[in-house]
Amino acid sequence: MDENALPQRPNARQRMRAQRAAEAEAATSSDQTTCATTTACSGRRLIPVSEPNAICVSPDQGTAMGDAAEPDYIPTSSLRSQGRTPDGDEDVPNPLLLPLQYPPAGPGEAGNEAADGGGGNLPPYRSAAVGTYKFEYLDHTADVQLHAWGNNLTEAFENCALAMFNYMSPLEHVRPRETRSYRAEGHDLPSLLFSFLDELLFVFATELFLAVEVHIQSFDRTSFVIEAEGVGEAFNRDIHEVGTEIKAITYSAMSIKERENDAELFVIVDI
Amino acid sequence: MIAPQEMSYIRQLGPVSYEVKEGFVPGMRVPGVVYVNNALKGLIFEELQQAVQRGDHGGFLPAVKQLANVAALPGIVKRSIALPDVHSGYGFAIGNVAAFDMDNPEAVVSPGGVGFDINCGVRLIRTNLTEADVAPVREQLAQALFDHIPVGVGSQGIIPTTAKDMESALELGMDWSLREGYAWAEDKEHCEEYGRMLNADPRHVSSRAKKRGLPQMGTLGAGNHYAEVQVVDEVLDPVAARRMGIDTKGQVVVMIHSGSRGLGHQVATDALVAMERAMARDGIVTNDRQLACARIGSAEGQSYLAAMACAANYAWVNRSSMTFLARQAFAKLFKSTPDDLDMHVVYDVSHNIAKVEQHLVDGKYMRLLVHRKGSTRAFPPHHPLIPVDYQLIGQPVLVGGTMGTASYVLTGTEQGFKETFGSTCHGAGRARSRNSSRNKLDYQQVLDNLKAKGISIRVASPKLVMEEAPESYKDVCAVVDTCHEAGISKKAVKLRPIAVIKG
Repeated sequence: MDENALPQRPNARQRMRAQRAAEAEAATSSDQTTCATTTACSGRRLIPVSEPNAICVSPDQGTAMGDAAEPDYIPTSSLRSQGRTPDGDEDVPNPLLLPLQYPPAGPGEAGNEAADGGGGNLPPYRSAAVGTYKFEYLDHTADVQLHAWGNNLTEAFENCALAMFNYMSPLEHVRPRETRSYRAEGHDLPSLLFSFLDELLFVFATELFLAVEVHIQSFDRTSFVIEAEGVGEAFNRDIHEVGTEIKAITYSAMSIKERENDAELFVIVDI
Repeated sequence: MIAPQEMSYIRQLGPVSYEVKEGFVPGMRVPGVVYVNNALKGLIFEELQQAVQRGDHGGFLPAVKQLANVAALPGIVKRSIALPDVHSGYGFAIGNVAAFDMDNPEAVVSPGGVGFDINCGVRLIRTNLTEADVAPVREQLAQALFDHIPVGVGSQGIIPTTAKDMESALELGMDWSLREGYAWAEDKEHCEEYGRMLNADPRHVSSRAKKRGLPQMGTLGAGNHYAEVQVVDEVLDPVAARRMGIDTKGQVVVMIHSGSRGLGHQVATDALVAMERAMARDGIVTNDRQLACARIGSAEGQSYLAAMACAANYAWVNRSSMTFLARQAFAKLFKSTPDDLDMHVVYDVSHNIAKVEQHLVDGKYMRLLVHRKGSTRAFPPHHPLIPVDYQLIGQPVLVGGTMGTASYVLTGTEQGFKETFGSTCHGAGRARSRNSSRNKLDYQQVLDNLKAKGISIRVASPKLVMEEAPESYKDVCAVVDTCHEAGISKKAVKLRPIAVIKG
């Protein structure tokens, strides 16, 4: 493929280089596996192979706020800020030619070879979880269905929000630098979920804000109001990977299931 | 094996049409009809089979069921129509046409029947360049277009717009572009509705929608939107092609497929929320929660139609802006002017819209609100609403193929006007889910395939390359052939891409 044929994004190349180096290191010391699901937890977490009975540990989320000294992102509409100008870095292979590392390699990939239809080979339940997150993307002909779960409904809602953001730009590159607060209202649980995701999408559409962490501070089940806080940063072509834009949230096949210590949601989003 | 019960309601009407009889779902008022040929029917029935199997665990309604649910809506006239590229959508299937009687007080309007991307459509611009002229600078051309036209997630418009401009643009549509100098006067002639829906009223568009739309004015968008430089591959109807000015084999044209971006989506979302409340009040019952609708005469119905018209105008302004940017890109690269390059708009069609039209049903004229979701209007020759210079050939229909495959220009026919309210397919229609495409296809392979065909490509998102690979879509040739065979539109020109710009 002609070097000049594809868009050149210098920071993406640096990022890929660093990632490859880190993976080369991790591969040699890779001795992790997933814990068996217990009744206390419905997700699958990583534990060292040498300690099969270890209590599952939370993934390291990193520090809460980033470097306070850096300036806030100020969106501009110039072509330059969209990273279109190629630079002359020739010796590094083009990142778009490298095999994709998305989602991050991990045991969560087991179910990704699931059938895409025809014959009824439906994938095992929750097996296509992205990395260590509690969400997965399910097949839909033209759009995509978000499937998120958690120990309770609040957690499931939060994970659904992350699922949405992750589809637009992989969250592994989003740093938790700023906060935004959100408020959503509905008249029943489905409309509340709809309104919550719509609000997050709206803030993304207007301010390009991606949240790598979503914390629901209050979830009122009688008046159906959610107040939440998102931690993340504004989308920047030079730093973040471009995913697929989500146009709207739909009620299509929406389902919210709650059980003892487990809740899950299905939402189809319009691409 | 689909339950024999389901299949008993489906019977073949002709070589390329199937009827879905009343009773397939409860409450059907009219039958459904599906235009599909043998090559494509497998996909549609596979969708049905999968849904029957999945049951309650996170599935989605197959297109055939959605077609039937639409046939149960109050005020629907004649039949619920599915075109060869039909696939499951929100409420209505994509590729579903339904007409409602404007003079029936019970008849409804449904945002699901228009789609989230209001006035998603295609515009074709011709040039007087040939493939030989463009071949030496093909990569620069692709790069120039990619630089001029903002694409992809988070892209921002580069044509300066204020909130006040936005209001005018929503109300005036292409007239605003003309006033601001982005469009040529003759562009309006070659656009549906002359680029402006007159019942637009920006007061019915929420400020949330306007806020979403403002930074995105003049952007291409993401998903299946694209800008392509194509060449005329085959002229199948020389008379029609000559009238359109694209009758030379190897002639270069530009095709832009885009819609109303965030504004349209927000308008649709807002309307759905409002109509859901209204449904309980007006006693409208549907088989599917997403088939939110309102009586056409109600406040919500009228408000939606006015807001939809604004979103449609916004999309036309968008396409006009991108036409302007494409003209600039070509002019700069070929050191000429757009006028000298004969960069006229051949036609601009809309495939997600609802229009008030007059149709002859069972011998009498009726005023119908025709919802076309993923379906293009295809009016026959001598219809008063098509441009003067196309009166003899019929309305041009632009059918975009997928990335790297062919696109077509068709013309409308009398038979189509009678059978499908003058509607035909819109594109290839998806065959495979985005998720499985992301997981199964290798984008390097997809890109190599494109390069092997001699196509330059610029994409903002690598993942989209896999989601949008031709393998994920139905075969556009089969779709267009089916429409041609059914007589609802006639093939005129086949186009082949040489450069693709995607978000």
